[in-house]
Amino acid sequence: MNVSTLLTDEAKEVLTEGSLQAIEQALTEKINLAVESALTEQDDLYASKLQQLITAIDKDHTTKLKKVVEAIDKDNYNKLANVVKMYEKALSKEANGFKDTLVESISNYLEEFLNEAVPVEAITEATKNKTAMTVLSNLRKVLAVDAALMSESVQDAVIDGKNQIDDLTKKVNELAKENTLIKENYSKTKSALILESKAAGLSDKKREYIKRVLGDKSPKFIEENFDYTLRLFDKKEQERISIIKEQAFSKREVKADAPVVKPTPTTKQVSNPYVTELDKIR
Amino acid sequence: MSKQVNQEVNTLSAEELQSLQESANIENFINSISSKNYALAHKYLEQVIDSKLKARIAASLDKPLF
Repeated sequence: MNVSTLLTDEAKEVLTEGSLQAIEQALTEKINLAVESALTEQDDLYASKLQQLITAIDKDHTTKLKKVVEAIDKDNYNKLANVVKMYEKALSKEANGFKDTLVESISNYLEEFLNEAVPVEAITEATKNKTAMTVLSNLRKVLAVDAALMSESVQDAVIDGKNQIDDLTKKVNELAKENTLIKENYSKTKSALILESKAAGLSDKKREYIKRVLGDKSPKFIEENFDYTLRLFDKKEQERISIIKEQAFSKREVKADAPVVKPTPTTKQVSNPYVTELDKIR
Repeated sequence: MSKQVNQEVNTLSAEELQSLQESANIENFINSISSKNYALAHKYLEQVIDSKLKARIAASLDKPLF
C-alpha cells in the first residue's frame, strides 16, 4: 500500500521519506490485524451456523431413514410371508407331485432293468419247467412210476398191462350191470311166486288187494308183511260194513214194535304202528 | 381317521395293495439314500425287486402249461 497517494501535497512536503515509510508500515500492520480479526470472527460465526445446519440435517435424515427402514421392513415382511406361503404350497402340492413322479420314474426304471436282466421269456420258461416238474412228480406218485418203470424195455409191458386192466374193468362193469338186472328179475319173479302161493286160497277181492299192495315189494318184505296186510284188509272191510250198516239204520223208519238190536261187542283193536303205516300207504 | 384309512385299505384289491406297498418301499428307499443309510436302502430296494419279480412269476403262472 502506498501512503503517499493518500496524503496531500502539503503533508508530503512536511513529512520525510522515513516518516512516510513508518506511517505506511504502521497502517499496513493495523490493516492486517483488523482483517485477521474479522476473518476469525467470521469463521466462528460460520462454524456455529454450520454446526446447527448439520444437526438439523442429521435429525431430518434420521427421521427420513427411520421411515424408509420401516417401509422396507414392511415390504420385506410381506414378501417373506408370500415366500413362506409359496414354500408351503410347493411343499404340500408340488413336492407331493414330484415325489409321485420320482417314485413312478424309479419304478419304471426298475421295470426296464428287470426286463433286461431277467427277460419275461426266461421267467415264463422257468415257471413252466417248475410247474411241469411238479405235475410230473405228482403223476409219478399217482401212477407209481419209478425209475424201473421209466425204462423203455418195461414200458410195453406196462402199457399192455394197463390195456388189459382197462378191458377187464369194462367187462366187470358190464357183468355188474347184467348181475343187477338178473337180480332184479329174480326178485320180481320170486315175489310174484310167493304172492301167488300165499294168495291161492284167498277170495278174489283179497287177492287183488294183496297184489296191489305188495306187488312191487321184495320177497322178504312180502314174507314179513303178508299177514299184517291181510289183517289190515279185514279191518278195513269191517269198518266199511259197519259204516254201511249205520247209514242203513239212519235212513230207515223206526217202528215201535221193532226188535231191539243189541250192538255186537266190538273187539278192541290192538293198535299196531306197522299196520297204521300200511294203512297210510293204501 | 385311522379307521377310515383301514376301511379304504380293506376295499383295495390285491394288485392295488401290492402297488401301494411297492410305492412305499421306493419312498423308503429314497429316504434311506438321502440319509445315507445304505443298509436300509438295500433292504427296501430288495423288497421292491422281490415284489416285481413275484408279480411277473404270478402272471406267468396264470398261463396254461400246454
